[in-house]
Amino acid sequence: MIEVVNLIKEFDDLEALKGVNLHVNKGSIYGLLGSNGAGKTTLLKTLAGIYKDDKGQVTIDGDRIFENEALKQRVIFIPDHLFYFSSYTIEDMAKFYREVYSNWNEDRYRSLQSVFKLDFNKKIHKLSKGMQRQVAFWLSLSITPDVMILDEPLDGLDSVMRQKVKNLLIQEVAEREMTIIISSHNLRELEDLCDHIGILHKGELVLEKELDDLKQDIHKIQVVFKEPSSRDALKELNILYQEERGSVLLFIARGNKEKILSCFKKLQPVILDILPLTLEEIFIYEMGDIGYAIENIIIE
Amino acid sequence: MKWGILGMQSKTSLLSKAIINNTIKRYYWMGALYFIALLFIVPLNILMNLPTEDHRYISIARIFNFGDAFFQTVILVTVPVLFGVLLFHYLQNKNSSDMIHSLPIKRDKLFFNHVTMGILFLTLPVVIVAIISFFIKIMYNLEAYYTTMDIIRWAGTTILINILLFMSSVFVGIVTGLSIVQGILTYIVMFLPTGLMVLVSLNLDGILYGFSSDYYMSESILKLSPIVKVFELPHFPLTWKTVVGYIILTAIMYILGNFLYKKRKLEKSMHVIVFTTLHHLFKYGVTFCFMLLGGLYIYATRGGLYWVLFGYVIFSFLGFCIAEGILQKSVRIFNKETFKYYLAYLVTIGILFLGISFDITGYQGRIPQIDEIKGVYFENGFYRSNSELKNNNIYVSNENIKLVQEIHKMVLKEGNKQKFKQKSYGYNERNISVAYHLKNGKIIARNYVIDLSLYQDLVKPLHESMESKLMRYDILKIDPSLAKRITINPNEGNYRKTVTIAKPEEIKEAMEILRQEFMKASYEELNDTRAAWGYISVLLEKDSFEDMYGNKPSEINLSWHKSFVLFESWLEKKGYLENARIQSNDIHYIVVEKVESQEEINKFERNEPIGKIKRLESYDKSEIELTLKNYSPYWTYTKFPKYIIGFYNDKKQQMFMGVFEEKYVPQFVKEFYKE
Repeated sequence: MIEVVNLIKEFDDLEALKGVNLHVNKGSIYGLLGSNGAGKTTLLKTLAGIYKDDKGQVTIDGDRIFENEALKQRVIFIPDHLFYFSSYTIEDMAKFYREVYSNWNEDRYRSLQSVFKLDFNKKIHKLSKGMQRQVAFWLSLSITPDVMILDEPLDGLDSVMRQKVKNLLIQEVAEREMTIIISSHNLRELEDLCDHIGILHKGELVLEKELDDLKQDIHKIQVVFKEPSSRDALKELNILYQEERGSVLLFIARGNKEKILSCFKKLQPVILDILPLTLEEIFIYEMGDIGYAIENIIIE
Repeated sequence: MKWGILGMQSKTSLLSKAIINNTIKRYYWMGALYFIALLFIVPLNILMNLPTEDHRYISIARIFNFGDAFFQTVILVTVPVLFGVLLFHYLQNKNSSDMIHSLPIKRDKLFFNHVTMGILFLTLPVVIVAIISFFIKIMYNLEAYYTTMDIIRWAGTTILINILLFMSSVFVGIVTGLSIVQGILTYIVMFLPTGLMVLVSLNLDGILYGFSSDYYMSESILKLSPIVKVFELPHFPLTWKTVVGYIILTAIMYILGNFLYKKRKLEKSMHVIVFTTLHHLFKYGVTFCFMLLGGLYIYATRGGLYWVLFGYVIFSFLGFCIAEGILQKSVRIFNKETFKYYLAYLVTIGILFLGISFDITGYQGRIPQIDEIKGVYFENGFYRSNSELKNNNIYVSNENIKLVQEIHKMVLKEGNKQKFKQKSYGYNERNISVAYHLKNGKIIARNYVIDLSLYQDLVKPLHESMESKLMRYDILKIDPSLAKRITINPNEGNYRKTVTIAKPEEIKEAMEILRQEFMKASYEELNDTRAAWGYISVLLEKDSFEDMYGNKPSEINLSWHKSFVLFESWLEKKGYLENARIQSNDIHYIVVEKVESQEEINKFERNEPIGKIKRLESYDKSEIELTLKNYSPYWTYTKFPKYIIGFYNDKKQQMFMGVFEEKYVPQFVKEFYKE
């Protein structure tokens, strides 16, 4: 669906994106993680056809997005800094979008009012930041886009509204196979929403993974051995990390769960536990050195 | 116009209903305000100035001439630029730019629709006001004051200027990333052609010997700027050539603007200049202008060559830093890179400057060959050279062309050392301007400041030629039968003396004698610095004579020089002489004082006693007559010692003053001061 090949973007002498490759499937919710200044916004704006993809390629459904009216009809972008025409009401803004987007769904627009509970004739500029963001979702969903590009969209929403919006998005993906790419600097925010995660760091995509795979593939093992014995048996495992806390040993290993367990059992441990890993831990261990570097930034 | 056709051809694809509706909704008030302003400037202004019984003279025609209210002109040069800034403000703001450009609307469509709306906002009010004015004209029967053609011309001019300035503003808006810069830069760009030419030519005045900025400025350089043109509209309505030029210019700006818009990198909004390739143009442009401005300042304050060079370096560096600071939006611009760019500039300018100094194009030494020349203009200034060859202020006779060439050669030989700062020649200093009209259609124009006294041998035969006299003295040009009345006023006019000659046969005789006087007068006689006896005006038949400026004066004026004895005796014979000039009988006595220094003059002019006992007082009529014949006006330049003359009436009141020039001091004065 969305395909980014070797995208390079330069601002003056600064390279904001250094050859990014990215792939998003149809009907998928792709989370783009990265610290401030990692290049998330630049990437998303290029995906939305605002910036020109002068080096590399950005395509949606095989077509270049830049200056492509037909394609842009199906793509909506919600920026981190929202813009509404001054003194416009929600209805005024809806009228504008109605004229711009041919697939505007009036019924959807009317029915969504019950979700957001905002007055059609309220001046948008008089609304709070969070409410303005709700308006953005309201209008965007009324367009019934095939692709939504969301830049830090959940900022400023309270937890109730956050959940509501997430549900709306998931519902949309489930019903119409809409594709979403969503950026955040906070992993936890995306955990329950995304099926894919990509991490952008200093203009490079350092990791791109499917979440389910990730969780199945990595394990935390807590063991206590009777006596210090040879641990040669563990050498055939892919151990990412180990730590000793007194007599308790802690391992993070990648691979098949059964295989790992059997490997440990050979050493006849006194205690052997497999513990669940949080997504944050998975990322940190997965990414090795870079993981530690960005730990403080994307994981609170 | 260009977009009109485009719009018609592909209405379905280029018009965006959303953008149009949105623009109307957001900016209709601007159009409304503009309409109201026009309403006050035109129709309401007419209604307020309707002619009445006792107030017949009205200025309605001037409303359509842009000459009525300054307000109209100011609106004409500001409103379209403002529209350009407002309608394209979305480009200069990151958030709105992102939002608009994420919409499924192509950039050329955005450009087309915003430009169209701007033109509509600027045109519709003008058209409505024109229609209202038309109905007012019919209702109040004002055909005598303004015609439908006046209205159409007014509306056409307003719309054209509006669109031109609007398009300039839009074009600049595409290049820049800040709304304020867009506004300022638009005006700079519109003044640039004029400003740059003026600056360059004024600087060349100082560097290039013989170069005359006057010549080029009079050659309509000033009117290159649309803004200057707007302010001159009351006197110079747009010509068809200008109209076509403006339409083409507008179309070019549309096409180029559209092209650049598509190239524009949106990530660069908030930059002063969005296109990196234009940064150098901007930077070096500002540097160059500052250099010229600084050089001009120093040249104008009479600094010599080295001061001017110093000024060039200092001011160009200043300009460079300012431009760099603006581009980087920072004061910390000093690094190796910056200096490298500035050094490159200095080297380029240095080479250019050396080229000019060594005159590699041969500009300074160029005197065309006699067989290349069709005619030559020679005067003290270019004020009469506005014409083409058709006017008779250009020498075409071989002898005179040769004389001018000789003078030119002598100037080059004598004056070649005085570039940058021309020597001051004091009293004899003259400006001479030469313009050769070549057979191949080119004009070579030069201007020099010379000491005229050195050139008498060449100037005298030139000015004594009939060709020259015909150029200078209108009386030789006109048909004597066109004279309706001749009036003679004495030199010192306020003594109620005047002579009017109205009898046709006398007019005929007087004209004939005057023509003879001018024809036979020598160069010295015609340039007599002594006070003339009086001034003669000849009233002409209406519109019968066109002078060299293209005006049609109702009368011509000439001096009654002291050497015109034939005319004097004719006046005497006819009994007019008594009232035609100041007579010795009008003067009771004269006083002549000899002044030795400026200090004494100052005292004298403050009416303080100079402290000298010796002063000449004369009641002798023949001495008074001699004085009247030989005195020069008081302000005439003379060296010290100066002879100052006071003329007194019988009430001991001073009537007027004068001085003697050295060569005209009468014998009796010399003798008196000899002892």
